[in-house]
Amino acid sequence: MKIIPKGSNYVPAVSSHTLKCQMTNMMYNDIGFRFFDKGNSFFDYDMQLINAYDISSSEKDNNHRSRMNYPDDMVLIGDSGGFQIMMANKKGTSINIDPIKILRWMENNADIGMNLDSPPTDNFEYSLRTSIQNFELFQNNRENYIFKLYNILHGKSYNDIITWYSHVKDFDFDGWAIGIRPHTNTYLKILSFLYLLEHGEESIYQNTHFFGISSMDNMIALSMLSKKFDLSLTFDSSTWATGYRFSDYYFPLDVRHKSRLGQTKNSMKSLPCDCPVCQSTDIKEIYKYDTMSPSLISYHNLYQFIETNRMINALADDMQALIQYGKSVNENILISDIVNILNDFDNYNTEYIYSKYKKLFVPKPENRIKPTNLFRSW
Amino acid sequence: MKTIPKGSNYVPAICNHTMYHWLRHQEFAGRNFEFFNPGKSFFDYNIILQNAYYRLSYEEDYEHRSRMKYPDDTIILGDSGGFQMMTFEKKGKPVDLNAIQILRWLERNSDIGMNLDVPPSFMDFDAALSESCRNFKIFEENRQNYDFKLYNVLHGKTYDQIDQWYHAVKDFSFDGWALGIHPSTNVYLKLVAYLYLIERGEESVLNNCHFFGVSAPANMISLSMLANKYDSALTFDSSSWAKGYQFMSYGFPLDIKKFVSLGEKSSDHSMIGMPCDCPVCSSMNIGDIYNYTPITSLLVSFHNLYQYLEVNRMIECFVDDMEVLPEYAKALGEKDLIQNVTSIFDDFDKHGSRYVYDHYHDLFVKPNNNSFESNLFGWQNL
Repeated sequence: MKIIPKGSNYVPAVSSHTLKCQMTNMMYNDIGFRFFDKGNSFFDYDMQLINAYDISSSEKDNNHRSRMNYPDDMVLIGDSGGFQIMMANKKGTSINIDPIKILRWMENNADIGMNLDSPPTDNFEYSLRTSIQNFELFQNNRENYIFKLYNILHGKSYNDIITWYSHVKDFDFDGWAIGIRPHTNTYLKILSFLYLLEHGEESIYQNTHFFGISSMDNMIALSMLSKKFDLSLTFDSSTWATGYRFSDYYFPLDVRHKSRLGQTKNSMKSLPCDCPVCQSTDIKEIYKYDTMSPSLISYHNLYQFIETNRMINALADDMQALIQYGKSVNENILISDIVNILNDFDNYNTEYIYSKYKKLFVPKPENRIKPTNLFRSW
Repeated sequence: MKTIPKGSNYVPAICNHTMYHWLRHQEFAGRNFEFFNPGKSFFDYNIILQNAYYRLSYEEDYEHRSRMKYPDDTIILGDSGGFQMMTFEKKGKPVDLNAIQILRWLERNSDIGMNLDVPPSFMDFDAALSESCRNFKIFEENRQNYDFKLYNVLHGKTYDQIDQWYHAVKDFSFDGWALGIHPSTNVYLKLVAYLYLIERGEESVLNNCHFFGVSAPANMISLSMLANKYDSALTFDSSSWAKGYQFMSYGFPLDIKKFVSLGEKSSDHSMIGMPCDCPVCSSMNIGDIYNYTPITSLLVSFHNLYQYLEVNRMIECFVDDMEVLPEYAKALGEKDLIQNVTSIFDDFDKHGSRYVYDHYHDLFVKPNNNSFESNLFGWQNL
């Protein structure tokens, strides 16, 4: 059974593009894209998240782990694909889904798997009901108890969280994945974690995952959370892979701002970055827009996400340093809010926090009281 | 005669702390700190600024260049030390050095030297100009080395002052210009001063122009745009990176605006890893910082220096693509700067520098409220 390292760990969600590069052992200037093979890629990293639904539906890849020849220390997280199924349903696309097939794929291949949830969008009760059915199926049909299977918590408000938790808490799983929406609601994610802690869910110290986030504020908040409780937690996103679709090139050590290189004048003479990918690449290679360019751009992005999160985790050990960094990235209010929330949790409880900091959790831009991190897609 | 590379080149001003370690060939993790020797240090760089006043007053370092064994391709800019000499005089510690000694040091050791100016921040503008002209005349008349380049110096806090200073010094026969426009945060006035020189036919500024004591991102961006517009080769220096020596100030990676003090008393020593992957930080661990050995502040400063070099290099890449540069400027909170500089350039092409100064008057005076961007502080009320 794999142990997640202490701290807040970014896990790149890997798309079929990347898997293809990894599977075919694609090389650029003798450097590969299999970052989990130490010393063979632009940089080393030993975690990735794969969508079991995508891979089990599009390819007959039941023995993915051995087919990919992952090293033993590689941590593979399997997402069941609930979000993708929900999105397909929303678009009216019919999907032929077999939850057991997904479970088996995760048991065969992943170190950590997520239950098959139905993320709540319009109909909370329906999503909860469907999720419970799937959770029961997973619980009753599980065959592998060495890999870890995470329960899932959803909700857009404190009441949603209470309701969802009360219905799923008795399932016998090994940790929790938190899918609080919208993903920009950093504070509600923190609150949901505290809620689980308050309810004695001790597995979350070592086994918690946050779905689909990688913004600067989330990285900082999760890092502070893991520091406070000495946690090992993970969070994932596929944002880095926008290089594949749009040639989005993130500015060095900036996971917020990017330039769409596919739509610019192509007039730069060299790459504006000293990351391991850019150091090995010529700008002409990027401007070619051949099959290699999107992979190089995406791997540059991935390095920025990994390194920014590593930097934040390092700084989180020194509150003075973190506060200065927060000022530098205009997230000093976030840091102060999180400190207050965590302090209040020590003295009171989540209900008190939700009530005291209500405006931080209210999904209406006009009610926001903090300037920088509270006006996205609520 | 050395040629400055095209573009806007950051030149680290070298202080006595760095010299101390260079002279002892200090090493750490198998690397030394002499970045001018390719492949020997954490990173390579071949342009530096040495201060003639410091070199002479502290060590009588007359043969600095040969003593240091700089490689042939190292470009040494020599600051005459006018600013430092005036600072000490003001503190009641008169300096026992004369203009000829400074000139000889520059001629012997540097590739580019700055005239001995008296910055007008120390005394009445007219007196500073008069004193500077006296020094410039000494330099002009006593110059012996015509292989090295000697730069004229331009000062002023307003357009009229720039105009007055220029007319007093323009007939000296020198090889380029150094601009000491103050305050250093007045990004736009520096540009106007350069445009003013272009307008007056001072063609030497295209390949020989230096900006004193600037390195803020706003300055880096605007100078890069300036160099790009005129396909020029310019330099600018600062010693801000060396804050690590005094205060153990550690710049956040690729951020030259914010620093955290890692000093013995100001840090609680709780970081476990280095928060940076630069060549300096990759060679050490946080314990090397928290140990506070004599080398600690050197490591912190060289980390900072790498950030300054890399941020400027990054900006120099972006400036070739005017769709990418504004995006980057937004990320830095300098969104208006790009638009302002672009407009200033356009208006200069059509109307000249005086028009630009009058038309964008608000950019050149101290703001009355807080609605201006953050690089407009420390101004003189006009």
